[in-house]
Amino acid sequence: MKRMLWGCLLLMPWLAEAADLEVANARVRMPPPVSETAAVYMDIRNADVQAHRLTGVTTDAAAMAMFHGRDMQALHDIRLVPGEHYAFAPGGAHIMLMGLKRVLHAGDRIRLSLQFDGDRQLQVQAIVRDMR
Amino acid sequence: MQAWKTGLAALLMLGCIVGAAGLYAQRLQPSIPAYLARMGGDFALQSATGTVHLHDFRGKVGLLYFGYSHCPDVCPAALGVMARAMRQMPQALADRVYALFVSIDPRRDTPAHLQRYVSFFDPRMTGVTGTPQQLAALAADWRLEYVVPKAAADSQYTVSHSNFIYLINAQGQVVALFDEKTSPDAMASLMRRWLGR
Repeated sequence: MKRMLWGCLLLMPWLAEAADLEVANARVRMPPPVSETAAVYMDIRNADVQAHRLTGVTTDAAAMAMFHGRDMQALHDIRLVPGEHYAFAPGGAHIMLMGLKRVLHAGDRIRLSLQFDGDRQLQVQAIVRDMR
Repeated sequence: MQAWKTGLAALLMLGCIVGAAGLYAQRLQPSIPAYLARMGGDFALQSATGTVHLHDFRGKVGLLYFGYSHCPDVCPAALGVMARAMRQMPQALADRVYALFVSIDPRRDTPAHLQRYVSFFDPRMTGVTGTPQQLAALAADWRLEYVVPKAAADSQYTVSHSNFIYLINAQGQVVALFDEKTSPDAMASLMRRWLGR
């Protein structure tokens, strides 16, 4: 019983942290079938009282994934202001997938893993949308 | 007194005719903004089916965009908007419009690859590219800024480029600039005006 309580106590901070960063509306711009790249968009909300940083992204759908600004320059670190949304959106910052491993069709889902400061991760599913 | 009235009536009629003619001419042929007067110009670039010149499209109104096929965000957005604008043209004008995608990344974008890429957006689109020297000369004429990094063709690199969709009239002149945020409605309506409809 004592061990279970300790277990709960240890788990609690993790649960709280998982809930304070929320991802919504994750989608992939369906690329032409011959394309090796694609952009992923999503909204990340930092519901915490302190700032967080998004530090990395990986996916099994592509050889490489990285954050890009509108000017296509790589962003290494994205600051998430407490109580605010950060939007990866068309014509703005986006997650760029390079070296797609398969053709993406509208309605497909790809998995991404977002890494945040403090060794935290969030698993996200993004839906492929035909945005032509 | 009578002559005065007749004179006034004639003057009013003349005013109406001049005004109507002016409006009609404006509808037929909108004016080119001064800052676009020296932008653009003819070229010879390679498509999957041979050499393409701008003058091949004389008599048609077109949209032209510079980009590269490994571009994940703005290029597909721009080509998507161009394709939607083309699809919004009335059936009677469908063969009087064209769209060109000029790749500034010939190291990776072969004409054959480009054609497969643009067909995804609209089968009427043509993908073209040229040598780095041809593209540099073209960029100067079309006021395009771009940077292709010195990297191997099989490496993952990005190309920065200015982001205009050029509207080209039936004489091959640049007459308006759009971007991927322009509504297809606005593009299609200006294309119709430049076709005199």
